[in-house]
Amino acid sequence: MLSWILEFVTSETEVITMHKDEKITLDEEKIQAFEKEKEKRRRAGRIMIFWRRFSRHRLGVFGFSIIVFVTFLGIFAPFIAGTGRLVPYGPREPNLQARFTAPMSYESAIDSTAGQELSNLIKTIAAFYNDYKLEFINGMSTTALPYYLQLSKIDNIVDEATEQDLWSDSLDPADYLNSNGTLNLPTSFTGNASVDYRIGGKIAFQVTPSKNKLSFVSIYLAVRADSPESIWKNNFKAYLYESGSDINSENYIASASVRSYLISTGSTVTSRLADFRFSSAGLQVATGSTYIVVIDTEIMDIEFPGVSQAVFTRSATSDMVDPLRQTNQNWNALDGWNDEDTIISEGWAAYVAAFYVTNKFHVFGTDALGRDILAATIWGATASLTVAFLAQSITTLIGIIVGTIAGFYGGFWDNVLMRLTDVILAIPFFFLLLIAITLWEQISLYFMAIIIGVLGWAGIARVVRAQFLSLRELEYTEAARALGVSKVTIMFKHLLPNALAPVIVQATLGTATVILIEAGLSFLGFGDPLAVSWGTAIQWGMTGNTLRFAPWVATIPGLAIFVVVLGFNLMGDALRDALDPRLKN
Amino acid sequence: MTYAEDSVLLDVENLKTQFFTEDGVVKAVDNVSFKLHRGEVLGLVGESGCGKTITSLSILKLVPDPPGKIVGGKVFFNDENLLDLSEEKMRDIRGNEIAMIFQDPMTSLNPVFTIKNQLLENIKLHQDVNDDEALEKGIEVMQMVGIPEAKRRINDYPHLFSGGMRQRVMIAMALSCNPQMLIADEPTTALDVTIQAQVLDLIKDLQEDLNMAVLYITHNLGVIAEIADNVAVMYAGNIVEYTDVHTIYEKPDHPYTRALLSSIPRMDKKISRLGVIRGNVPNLINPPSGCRFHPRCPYATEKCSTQVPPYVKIDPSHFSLCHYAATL
Repeated sequence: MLSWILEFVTSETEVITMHKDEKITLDEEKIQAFEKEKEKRRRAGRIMIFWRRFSRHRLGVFGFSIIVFVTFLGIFAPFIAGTGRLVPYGPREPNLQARFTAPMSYESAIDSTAGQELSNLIKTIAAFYNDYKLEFINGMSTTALPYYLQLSKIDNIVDEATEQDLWSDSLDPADYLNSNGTLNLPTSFTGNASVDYRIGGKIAFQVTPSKNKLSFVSIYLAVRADSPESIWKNNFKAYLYESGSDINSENYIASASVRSYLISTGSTVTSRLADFRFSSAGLQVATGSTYIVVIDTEIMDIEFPGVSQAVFTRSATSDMVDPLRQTNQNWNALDGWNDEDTIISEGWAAYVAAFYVTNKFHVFGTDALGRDILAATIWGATASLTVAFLAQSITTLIGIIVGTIAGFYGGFWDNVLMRLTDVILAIPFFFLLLIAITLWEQISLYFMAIIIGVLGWAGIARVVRAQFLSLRELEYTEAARALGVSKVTIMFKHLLPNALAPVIVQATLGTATVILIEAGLSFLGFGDPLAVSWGTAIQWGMTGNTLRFAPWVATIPGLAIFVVVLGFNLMGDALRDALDPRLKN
Repeated sequence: MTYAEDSVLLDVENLKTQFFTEDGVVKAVDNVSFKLHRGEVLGLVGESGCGKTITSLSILKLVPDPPGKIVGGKVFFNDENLLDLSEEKMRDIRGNEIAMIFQDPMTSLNPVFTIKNQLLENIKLHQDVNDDEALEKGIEVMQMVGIPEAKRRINDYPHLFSGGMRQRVMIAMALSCNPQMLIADEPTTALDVTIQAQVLDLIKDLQEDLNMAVLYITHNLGVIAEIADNVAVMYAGNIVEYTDVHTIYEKPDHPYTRALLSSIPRMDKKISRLGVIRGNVPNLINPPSGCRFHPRCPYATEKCSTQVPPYVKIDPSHFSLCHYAATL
């Protein structure tokens, strides 16, 4: 240790002395470097001068960074967004369990602690029912959990079983409430496979949503056995019968172990009385086991309606028809259970499900079909920039060729080409584009880019022509000809570099325009049906009154367009300043 | 100065160049004939718009077409009529055998390329050399025209050169392929007087060293006296007088030449008031009938306005386009 310190100290002093010794030579080096830099600056070519000027333009560099970033996103979109990627959704892979999920940050999504037990329970039940698949949203099952209305808000649990009461009127349901919101059955019992056990009860709750919010209330019903020998046969059923409903006129609609209510802002739902029962005709239970009936509710206050979704999952074969209605009212409020009716319905377990906050990874939310907006925005960059760069390249190329020929040769060709340019400029561009696109049935991104490119060169052609009109009169053109250089070489090698500055600016600003045009076409439905463009994504958010209650669907792709167009414009301005020949270095 | 018959390098015969504009046909060069011998410096003098530059551009077939067109005449260069040559063969001659330098050195170099780029392009265009040889040749011609540190400065951009230096670069470019003939179109006009003298000396020296023929176009009679062997005076598309440089100052024959000389101050003669040529340069769409100078000529007669004057041979190397040549 000591030696190490000594070594450290000595080496330190060495460094200092070395530094002192070399102080003078260092200055000389500095001077040399300075001279070198001076010489380099003197010799700087146009491109270096341009770069120095451009890099001084902060907003331009900012715009340039935006473009580089979005281009990067566009190029690597398949590696960023898609199944198993950083963003685990593709724009064409709707997450049906999460429709209209609001944008949510990662932190707030995982900030939920309660409900671990129930979640595990439901998973356990699901595991028994092999026919039915209980799906959990990626990574959600263990960390992100629903939170619960305290059971104290269930103000009444009434015994209403008809046969084999496990629970008598004399019992106060409050005695069986656990502090964690679970409800213990008063007695343990030994199941008999031939007997249909039912537990009945009523819950009533009252929810008044806070101002400007909507509440989403759901009720869970699950049974847990504490003995591993207990097996729940596949006819475990839970029913929730809703009486006195003023939302739904149908009495038997609430026939699930999960029932959710969407309560609108300003309205109060009071004393909603719900009967719940579950039957277990084929139940095989170990002797002496304790069963816990979990009656649980969840209330979510949500900023926007339709934000969260109950995860109703079902196997592929199950139908979606309500099992109770299928068996034609085997329960009614007056007579109770009709024992002779056995309810056998596929897909029942579908309703044993959790009510989840599903938007952990939907950072920008989802649309009506559960398509992730972030994924759509990333993939939109691919579509928009493919079209923008390709179309602008075509535009610039055609514009340069037409403008060069018209400006350099003048006379007849100038007349012909410029009148053609006038004709193209005279017809409204978008209109022409729509006609051209509707003439072909299949529209790919490349096709769209080619159409936009072929129709959009008029502006650049004019700029190039104007440049060439002045350039061809300059003496170095004459000098080049007097040296025996051919006209084509003069045009494209000698004069074109001199004419490029305004073309670069025009092309940069034009790219922004093409992005807007592409988005417009996609928005109107004239785009590539297979590609997801920003315009398409905006269209998702514009159907019906989606914009009112799920504004993120349209605004986020819109913001992407805004940012990229701004980036191109800022860069165009910076290029204009940097390439302005009147500004001396 | 006399030259051997076989030393004729350029023989222009009855060259006619016209511009077809909307207002009418501009007869910019009308029946111009002259000969240029190897090693000769011919000064082509005249006021603005008299056809000097168009004559030189016609020789190289560089008249902007449209609207310009060479409508008649012959231009023999090494006994080959340039006007019959194809554009491709013409490109071989331009810059290689006939080089040209221009009036404004500030704009005759392409600002986006380095000197090296432009100089070497010309060398490689006309000579079968590789890059290193071309670079060597480029540095050599740059040293020849007196550019210091040629090796370093060849990599510079045109904006790093002063006007005189740029003209030197232009001369270097023109000379890089050892042309037999150099057309200098007012190469000193845009330069200040001291630089003018340097560039003139340079051209004269190089012309003597390389035994080049030079067609020197200027409106400055002082420059002509400095550099030319023979002088052709142009007026309104015609060469009105052709003689050697001494005769033009001592015994000018054509009334226009005389008027021109009387309008500049001279050191060797005491003149109290400079002469004036009254009137304006005629419009070449409708040039005056007969002698084109007659409306402004103090000696004009009836004959001058009706008959086109012939070339009158005053002595073997002195011609004048006047009815009254050698008699006035």
